Amino acid sequence: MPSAHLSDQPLRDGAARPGTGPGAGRIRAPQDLTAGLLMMGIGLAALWIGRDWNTGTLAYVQSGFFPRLISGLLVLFGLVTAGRGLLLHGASLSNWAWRPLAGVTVAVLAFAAMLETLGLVPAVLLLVGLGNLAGQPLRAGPLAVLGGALALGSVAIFVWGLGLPMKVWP
Amino acid sequence: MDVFGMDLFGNLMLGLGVSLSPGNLMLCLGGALIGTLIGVLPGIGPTATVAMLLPLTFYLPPVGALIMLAGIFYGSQYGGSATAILVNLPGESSSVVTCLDGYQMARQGRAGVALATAALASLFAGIVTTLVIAVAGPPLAGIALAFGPAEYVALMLLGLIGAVTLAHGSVVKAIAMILLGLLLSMAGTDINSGDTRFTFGLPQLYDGIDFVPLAMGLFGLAEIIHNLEQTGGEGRKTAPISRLWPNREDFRQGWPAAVRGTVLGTVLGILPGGGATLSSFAAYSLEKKISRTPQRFGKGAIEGVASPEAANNAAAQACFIPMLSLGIPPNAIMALMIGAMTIHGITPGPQIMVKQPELFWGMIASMLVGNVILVILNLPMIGLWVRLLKVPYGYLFPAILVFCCIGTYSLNNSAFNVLLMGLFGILGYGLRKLECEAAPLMLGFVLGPMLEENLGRALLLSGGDPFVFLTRPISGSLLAVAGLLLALMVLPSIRRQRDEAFKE
Repeated sequence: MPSAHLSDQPLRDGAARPGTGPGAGRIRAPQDLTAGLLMMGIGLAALWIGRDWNTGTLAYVQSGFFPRLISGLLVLFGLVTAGRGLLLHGASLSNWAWRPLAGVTVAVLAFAAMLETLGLVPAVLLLVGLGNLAGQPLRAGPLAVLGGALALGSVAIFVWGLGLPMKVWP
Repeated sequence: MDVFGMDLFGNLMLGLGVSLSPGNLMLCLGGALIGTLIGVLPGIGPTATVAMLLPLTFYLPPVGALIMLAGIFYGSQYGGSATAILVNLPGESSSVVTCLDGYQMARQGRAGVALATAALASLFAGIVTTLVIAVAGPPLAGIALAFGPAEYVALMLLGLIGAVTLAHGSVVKAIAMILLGLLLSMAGTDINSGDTRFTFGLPQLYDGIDFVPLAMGLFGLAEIIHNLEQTGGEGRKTAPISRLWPNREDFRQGWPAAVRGTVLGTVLGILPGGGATLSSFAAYSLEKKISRTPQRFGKGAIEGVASPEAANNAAAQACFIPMLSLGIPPNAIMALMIGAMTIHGITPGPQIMVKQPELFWGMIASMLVGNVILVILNLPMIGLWVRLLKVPYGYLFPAILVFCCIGTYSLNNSAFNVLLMGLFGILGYGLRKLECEAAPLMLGFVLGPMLEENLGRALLLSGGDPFVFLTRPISGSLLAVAGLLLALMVLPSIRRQRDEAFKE
């Protein structure tokens, strides 16, 4: 079957990710199926978290009513999306660019963790240094200039200019 | 003529007084300038620009903050058109069609003419739409003031449904994204009962999820990651610029197109969902259809720039009508504006016009001022924007990251918010990969508290009758329209036309 390779392409992408049901045969639209399963998962999790919340009566709704309504609808729409992913042909899962994703996220989380303990200047340098790894890394010289300029700039704008109460140095 | 005891002229004068005060004028100018500056950067659309620049306005008085944000919005829109024309890279879906003929004009050495045409067409559309807002806003708000909770629920549902059916992409997924936004809006302490919901025991979440880290993560960080994936950090090659001012022949062809685009954009923009994208596509098809030389389109026809640019600017500005007079955002940018109002302690809705006329009319008048400033500012500065486009992304994105992080932190001096922003960045990127749009999520998030409150109140007033939304005439009709929109989407022939309208 010469076309097997082509038509199997989406399936293999789909099977590479957890939750898309590997071995479930031919999945027509792995992207929709994954999206639907994700929505259902979030909806079910929300329903479970709010399982003991008081919904009240229709005439006097309590704080548990709206979450249950919306989570239920989310599960429903997730089901429809996933069902369409099984029945209709559609896009396959696209590859994730892990390097930019990890680089940017780690840099931001490191900034969040270090800002209040180390101060603004080291946190900005850390953010720039780690963030740099997300793209085509700059050479050491330009990177140092960029980091220094951004650190100086943010101290000037946010601390001296706007007077934000921030620790600048460790 | 209107219920608020002042005529249109007096209102506009009041507004001009506010927006022409030296401080506010500077804010409008600064907003337009920095909005263009960020908006012109490759791949950063108006939504991301407004989200990233929100922190600039935290420390301003409310009127100034909104004037500046509006300036940022126009600036970024113009910047987006500039990237579309110069490097064939639309910042947002509404400037996709500008690429078609704009970039071709640029390749023929007429980039300056295309940019000037875009600016002048937008200016014309902006002025006309501002007057429409000034005329249509007060009566609309007057009607809305008489709305009960059931009508409000119906109106919000119509707005949300309109926003997803008039946008492109899967309607089912978009509704699911609205629901996800609603769910996120519930995190925190319920105002009526004091119960905490979805806080995971974290005291930082007792006040709910802040709107800034959500917007910056979903739009700002996700956009950066996406851009890095696309470009790998390279700079862009731009077309050279020669002559700037359109000649008489250009004017003769472009002028009527701009007028048609403005009319189309205003009409489509007022509809729930405020279709800036839809109207630019529709304007382009219209021009192509009525042109005696349709074969020029796609090869640098000036009408193909003037009309969609006028249309998307008119529609983008017409979006302010439901936002200002009803408090209901028709798109993600208006959701950001509403979020900004909330940060400043302003409750969006029809009361604004009565209680804070200087804010309402100041903002409307600042749209006039902002549009004029943009043209004066941008025509001589096009050369600078072109040079900016060549800065490699490897240098730009760390600067944007630093700004996003400190900006989010400065909202509440909370490192937790920076952490949240990082997590929402992952969510935003993941949703993008699954072709689920973040814009409806933002709409749901902003409307969530208002929807829940009015839903509960409507049920309370009706004694628990869920059919109250259908039996009350206004609410029933609004829901019928929403239902009709949804039903139309199910019809295959209409859906095919909708898909085609967004293709071209």
